[in-house]
Amino acid sequence: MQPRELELTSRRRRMLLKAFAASGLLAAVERNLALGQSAPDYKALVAIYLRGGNDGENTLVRYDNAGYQNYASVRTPASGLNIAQGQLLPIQPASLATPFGFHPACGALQSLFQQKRLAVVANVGMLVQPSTRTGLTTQSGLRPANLFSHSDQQLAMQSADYTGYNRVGWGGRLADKLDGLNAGQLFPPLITTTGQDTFVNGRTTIPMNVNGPGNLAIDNSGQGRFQFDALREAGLKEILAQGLDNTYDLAAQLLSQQGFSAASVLLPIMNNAASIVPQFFASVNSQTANSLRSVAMMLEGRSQTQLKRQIFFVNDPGYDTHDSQLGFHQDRLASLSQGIGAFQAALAALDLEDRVTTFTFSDFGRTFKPAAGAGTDHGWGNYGFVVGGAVKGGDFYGTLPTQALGGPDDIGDDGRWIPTTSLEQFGATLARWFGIAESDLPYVFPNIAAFSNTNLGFMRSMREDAFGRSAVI
Amino acid sequence: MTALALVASLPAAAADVIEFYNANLDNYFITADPVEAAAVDHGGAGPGWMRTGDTFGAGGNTPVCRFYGSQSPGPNSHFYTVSAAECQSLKQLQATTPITQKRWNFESLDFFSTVPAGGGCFDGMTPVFRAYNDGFARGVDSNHRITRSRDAIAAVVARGWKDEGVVMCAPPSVAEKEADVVRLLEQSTLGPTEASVREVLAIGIEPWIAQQLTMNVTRYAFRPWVETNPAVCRDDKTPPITPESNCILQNISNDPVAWEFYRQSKTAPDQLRLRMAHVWHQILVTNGGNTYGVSDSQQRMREHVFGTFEELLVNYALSPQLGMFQSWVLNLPEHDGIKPNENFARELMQLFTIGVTELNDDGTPKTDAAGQPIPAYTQADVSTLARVLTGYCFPLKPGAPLSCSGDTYFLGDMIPFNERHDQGAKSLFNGRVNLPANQGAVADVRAAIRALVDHSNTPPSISRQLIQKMVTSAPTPGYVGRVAAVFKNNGQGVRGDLAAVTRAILLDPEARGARRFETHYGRLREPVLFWTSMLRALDVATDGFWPHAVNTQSGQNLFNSATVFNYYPADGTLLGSSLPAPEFGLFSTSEFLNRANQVNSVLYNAGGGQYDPMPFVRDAIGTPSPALVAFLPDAQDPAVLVERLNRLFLHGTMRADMRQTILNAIGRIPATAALDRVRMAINLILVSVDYQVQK
Repeated sequence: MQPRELELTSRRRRMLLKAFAASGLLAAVERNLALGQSAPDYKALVAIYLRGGNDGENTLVRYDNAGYQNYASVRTPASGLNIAQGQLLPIQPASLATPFGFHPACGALQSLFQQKRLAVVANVGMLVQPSTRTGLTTQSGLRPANLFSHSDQQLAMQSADYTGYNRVGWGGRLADKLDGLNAGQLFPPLITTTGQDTFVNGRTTIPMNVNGPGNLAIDNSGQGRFQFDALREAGLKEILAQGLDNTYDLAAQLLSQQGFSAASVLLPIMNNAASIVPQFFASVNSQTANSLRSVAMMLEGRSQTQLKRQIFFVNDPGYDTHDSQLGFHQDRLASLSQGIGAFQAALAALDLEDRVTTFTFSDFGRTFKPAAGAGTDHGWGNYGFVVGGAVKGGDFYGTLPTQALGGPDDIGDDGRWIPTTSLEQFGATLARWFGIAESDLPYVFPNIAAFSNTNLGFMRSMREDAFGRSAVI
Repeated sequence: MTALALVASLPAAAADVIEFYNANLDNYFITADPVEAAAVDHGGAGPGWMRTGDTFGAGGNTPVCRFYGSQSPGPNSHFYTVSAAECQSLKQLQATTPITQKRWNFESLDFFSTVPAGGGCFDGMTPVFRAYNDGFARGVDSNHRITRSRDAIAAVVARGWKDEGVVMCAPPSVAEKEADVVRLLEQSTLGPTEASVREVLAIGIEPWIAQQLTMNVTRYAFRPWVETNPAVCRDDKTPPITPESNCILQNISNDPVAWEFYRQSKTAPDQLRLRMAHVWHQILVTNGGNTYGVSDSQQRMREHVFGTFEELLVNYALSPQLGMFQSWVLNLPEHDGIKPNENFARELMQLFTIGVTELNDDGTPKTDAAGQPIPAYTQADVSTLARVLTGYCFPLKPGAPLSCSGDTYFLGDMIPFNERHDQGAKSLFNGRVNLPANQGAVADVRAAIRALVDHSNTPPSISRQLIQKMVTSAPTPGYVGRVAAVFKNNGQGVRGDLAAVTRAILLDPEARGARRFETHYGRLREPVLFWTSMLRALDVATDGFWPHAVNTQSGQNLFNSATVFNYYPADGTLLGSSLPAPEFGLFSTSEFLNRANQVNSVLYNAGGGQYDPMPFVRDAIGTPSPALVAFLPDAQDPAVLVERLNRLFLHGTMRADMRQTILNAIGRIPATAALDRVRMAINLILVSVDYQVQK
């Protein structure tokens, strides 16, 4: 494996320096935040990462009697993990014979499923190639590296690379391929509302970090020394444009310049007093909901960026439920479900439901078998959710694993399901809808050739008429 | 001889060689004689001579030959060489050249220096370069620039001068020694201060380290456990605030310990210990939401950072704070379809000792025949270690009978109960480590920890992480290997002697030497150290509330990391490349603006909001805007002010264009507004990426 050198290519620097210089112009232009004035072919992907490994087996539970009895025989009431059948929120997937039940905190997700705007993809995970229990037991080289390690699987799932060594994310690589769709635009197409996760690093794309309006401008001192604020800002910018040698200096300089230049576009969007978004989030308050509210406001103001394609990343922490799972998991899922519910309502009001697709992914699932302390340990295959007006919702996709400890789909004896759908298959389905060319898919997903069916079919096509009006078919 | 021995044997610089420049003549001049320098300052060599600020150390084993031409026919310039051959040939040329023609005339043996070896200098010595103005070909007086500044040579080469390479090897100049001490303090404390720089310069780096290693431990205040009694424990904000009414905060928040950390960061004399506790708590991570438990576990860290690694690890592993965080308190053997919890078993191996892949002694990954990394442990090892980590319960509340009560309590070690422990035989690492049946929880846990400490991965894995949090994010395998060797054996047969390891990290040539000029050297200052450095350097009074609030916003909620992977992942890299840059996990497009705004805000604040004393903070004083009295006198002379701050924050490396920008900005502030001038300089320096990256 060749270490990858930092590509502070002159093209990247030139783009940023141009943006930096242009920010003065952008700031001077009168802002028009009228809704719905974006380019006709606008689309956005919203990635929600459930950090720590969400316990899929308590998020969706088999609701038919035989299926539920099987669940309760492993996740017994004595184990502290059991959810009573009467508390689950039932759904009937269109192509399955038997029903499932959502975790009681997932009311909004249940509604979206019933409205056919949420699809469930079963047993998704990192794979080297399609794998079976026998195959994996006899040939360890077929396993993703460091399979149950958080850091390695976060890297793997976010970079679409089972070696866990790739530091460039598939979100970043998607953004790298948006130059054609976002022709001539300098505003960063990829925004993270939280930290610098691998998913958002591209080879040529630098992500913009937006975590609220507080850090989008140089504040004045507010202490009556205004005459020095302009001097200070000018001095900071001048120093920031000077030549440097040290690699870390240069990287910090790039990030700082990006912050300065994009901020002038983002600030009025995030401070928009006439925004219709906040009302939908009035009754939800969590880090995830706040991130999704920021995303919704940026979607509302997308015309100011002049982009046709945008990617947003939201980190949702706290899913590593090793002990006392029921309480913690309830909190996380409530926050997630309410946040997504509010987000979809805002999108409906913005008439963007068909143009924005949201999906969830995670380090891994968790062991079906309980661990001491009323918790679970690190697993493998897990559910993924896809939400939006362009989603063929109300159904399950992929193949459910046999829920038996030590069974044909268990890599061991503790209920760690060997994925039946790879991250690449899941992601490629989304990427196609997003408009990535077929020939660019291997760039985004380097291991895609190992899997034959790379369109799982959970997205609708769109047809546009001569006036740019689109209809989902 | 080793580089370190060479450094130790160098004579101290007798004086610094001072450089002058005359813009009318476009000539440079150097002298090591302070009397001569003063005479030149006062016009003794004619008008127009100004000090450039560049200096290098005088001292060595060879005297330098000094030559002078003449006013007429010239050259009206001086020439120095440490090369005996060059000196001799110029003397011969002098003897055979008539006085009416341009020639160099030998004046004297002047200051001492050292001849370069192979075009360079040993580590610990400073290369001195020379450039020639090509005067002979251009028909003007020959002149040479002799300096240790690479920038200075580049500047004249850009005007057409010829680069003659390294011509002398100098000992560290006064300025260089000070810069080295500033860098040492950035690596080994919570931030340099002018006073601490003077102190270390006075007693020497190695004696100072030795002193720090044996100093008394600054203690977090002991916090008693208080039963949460709803009748008394209403809230922690309504006066009167008593120890009882404060019990909510006391029992459920890490904040008071964090506030105490920031207060102590300013005044505690055992800075090396506090810095190492800060480093170690990011490797052996725990978090907690209760004051007395956090206080206890962080105090354990402080007390063991200069003992052995095994002692530190055992002590920390048995802390009930960690036990709860990592799900191993109350862990049980397989029963009723419930397996032993694997949380701590995995992280004990992955994060606290050996890491995920097999390592060579220098920290580079071993590879198999196919070139692939080799896993250091398997899932089976995790499951087996989970069986070892069973049977421990919370320590007992005062007066409670000996039993496994399940009542959460965080003072004291966790207590083992063999009847709750998996007593079966256990085999780890493919049979390499075997724990016999029925030896009890204590023996099992100690044996397992001993096996992990003894694993060949542990010295390089730990050494590398320590270096990354102290000196540089991308150490060479050589650096890692040298420190790991000390970890393996401190010279007296002890494994994991952390005092010796800490010392080895700080004294290594890669921490002290020329590698600091390389482009991939350095580490971004994480939020906590960015702010403690400011508090200390500028003497900002605080009760800790504001810095803790700011750092929490920036992603470092002290002692309450979201996961065991620390506030930012240890394997973070720079913008999708493979260059290690963990702290960039907390530096984004918005963090730059955040730091800029916060620096300005605290400098100018007139109270209110988070700067005010809070009623629920003991001995609250808030964080008033700093008076910066030490720096005000220099505000009258911007060049002096900027240079002083350059030495304190940038160890003398401020770029010429950055200096000019700052001087221009200050120049537009009237001299009567001295405090505003100092604030402007601080704003521009602290927020620069040059400062944000510790080098």
